[in-house]
Amino acid sequence: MTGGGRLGLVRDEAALYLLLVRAAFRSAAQYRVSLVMYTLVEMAGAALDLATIGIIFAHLPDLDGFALSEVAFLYGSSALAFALAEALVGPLDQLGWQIKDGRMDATLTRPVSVLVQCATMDFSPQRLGRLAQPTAVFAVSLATLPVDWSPGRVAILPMMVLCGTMISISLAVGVAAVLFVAPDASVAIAAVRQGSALATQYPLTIYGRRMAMLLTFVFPVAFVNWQPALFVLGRPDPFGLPGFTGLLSPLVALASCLAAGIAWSAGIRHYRGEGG
Amino acid sequence: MTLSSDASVIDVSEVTRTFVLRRRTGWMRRERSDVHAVRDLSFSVRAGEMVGYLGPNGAGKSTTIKMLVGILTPSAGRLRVAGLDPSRQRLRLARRIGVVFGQRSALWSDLPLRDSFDLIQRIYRIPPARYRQNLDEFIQLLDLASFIDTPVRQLSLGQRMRGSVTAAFLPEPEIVYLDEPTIGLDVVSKAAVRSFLSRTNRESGTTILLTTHDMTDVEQLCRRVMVIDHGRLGFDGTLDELRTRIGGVRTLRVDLAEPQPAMTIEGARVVRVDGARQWLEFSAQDSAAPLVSAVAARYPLVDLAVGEPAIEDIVARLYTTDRLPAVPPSRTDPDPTHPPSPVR
Ligand SMILES: Nc1ncnc2c1ncn2[C@@H]1O[C@H](COP(=O)(O)OP(=O)(O)OP(=O)(O)O)[C@@H](O)[C@H]1O
Ligand SMILES: [Mg+2]
Repeated sequence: MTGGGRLGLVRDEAALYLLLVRAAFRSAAQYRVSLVMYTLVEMAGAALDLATIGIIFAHLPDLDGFALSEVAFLYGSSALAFALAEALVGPLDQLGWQIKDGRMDATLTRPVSVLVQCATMDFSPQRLGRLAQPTAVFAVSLATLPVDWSPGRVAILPMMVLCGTMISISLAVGVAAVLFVAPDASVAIAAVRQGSALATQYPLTIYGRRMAMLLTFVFPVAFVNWQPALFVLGRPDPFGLPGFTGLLSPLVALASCLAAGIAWSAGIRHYRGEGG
Repeated sequence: MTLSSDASVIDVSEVTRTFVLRRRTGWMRRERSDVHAVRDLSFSVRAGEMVGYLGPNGAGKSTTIKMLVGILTPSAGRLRVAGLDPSRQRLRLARRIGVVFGQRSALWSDLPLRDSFDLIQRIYRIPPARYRQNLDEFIQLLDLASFIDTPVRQLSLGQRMRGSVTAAFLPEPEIVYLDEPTIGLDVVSKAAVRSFLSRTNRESGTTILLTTHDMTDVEQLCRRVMVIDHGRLGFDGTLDELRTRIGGVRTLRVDLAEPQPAMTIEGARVVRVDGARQWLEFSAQDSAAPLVSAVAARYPLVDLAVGEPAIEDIVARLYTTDRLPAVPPSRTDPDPTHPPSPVR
């Protein structure tokens, strides 16, 4: 260890993260052809996504009382947060395979945290490429929102993206922790992750009250974009929650990181491997 | 041994590890059963020891090693390795130990072996000069030069194993666990790995615990052996002690001038007669000399050979006697048609 204390530990893990990302890039470069192919597929997918959104917006000038630019803002901020989370930690549902084929044993022998190793294991340039589309949608929505940009509202934006990313990482880590005890659940875990990303792409009002409360208080993805967005847009909460709720995102983000950390280490403690 | 007990680097006391298995037995019905992989295990290892950890398949060897690394949390009992609690302080401990799992490589499969080693240097922060010196030495000792620039996934089993051993020892760990390090290796690779292990143990004082099903590994490397079966420690001592305790018998083969009925000699019994040749079994603790002179005094002796019990037989016997406690360790009424243990 170069530095003492918790801060030193975080810095060490960050250095290891970058080291392993570089190693993963070098590994990916071993398969040049598939790298190029994946990148092309990825670009086609992104273009298709954009086209879909365009078509939806062309036919739905307004969704549950939200204007096109507002829906784009909700979609862009959610997609950006989830894409950032995935760029940083990757699809953690892979963990199940790793446990089942025994690679996890080796992972647990190295002096690098399991999360950093899993996050960097299949790091590829595509993971960064997936940031392009959400960034574009988010930027365009900002340019077209009919919002009076007070310094307060502007300051909310980076917080929104940062907290959204933290919440979405926590969600990925928290549900992936289940895989340590139930490595077969990979598919279910992927569904939860993608479902929560999907759920936040539209105004929560379309899901009805009960679902909206679930997404606010149980899986708090409402704080990824919906709540702070209401604040930015200057709209009252359709479900009657107080106006400052949107400002609670940092607290929710910290709390979910904590909860995810606890779940993750409990998962590792209950890891039992595959024998042999 | 004059070393005091606080020189021990591994301390295991009354450790138990249970796996709960849930089997589906019907619609919504599940049956629970417990597998006791390790039960009430206690032992300690002093710094610088090289210990062979033996046992039949499913005995609990890998489970023990995984607990010592901190991969598995014990269900009960206490573990200390280098003063740390492995499962709670796994990351800190990881910097001080090395692990080789025979079946599974910890190397980066898409990178050339050399890049894996470079990564290990960065992760463990091995001083560059030290790293280069060690790597050069290991390349030579384990004969890595011909494949060090090959991606790990393209290496043969034996090449990958030598790479894994190198990776485990590069950071100069205090303790190294090897779970079947010679599995699937050819004779030359086995010899290279063995001499590497004994050299490192001797010169760097690295504590080594290894499991194996190859008794030559044990004979050549380990002064101390521990035998585990059904999760319990059945034996802990030197190889010679294991021989006397379990393999209690040696064989004397005598060739007489002409066929004779089975001899009657005190301290030995005839287990087989074949023409003029007879086989006698006697206790491994006894010297063969008095027996030979007793035979020579009473019978026309032409030739003789003394057979040591093979270590494989000893261990096999230990496993079976542990499993079937009703059968006494040495049979009093041997089947005369049953061939004696091989005479070497
Ligand atoms: N993850 C697991 N889940 C359930 N049972 C397990 C698990 N790991 C090990 N076991 C059981 O624990 C017992 C001990 O297994 P272990 O792998 O420690 O044996 P071993 O001595 O290493 O055997 P081998 O010589 O075959 O490698 C076995 O009965 C095995 O089935
Ligand atoms: Mg094993």
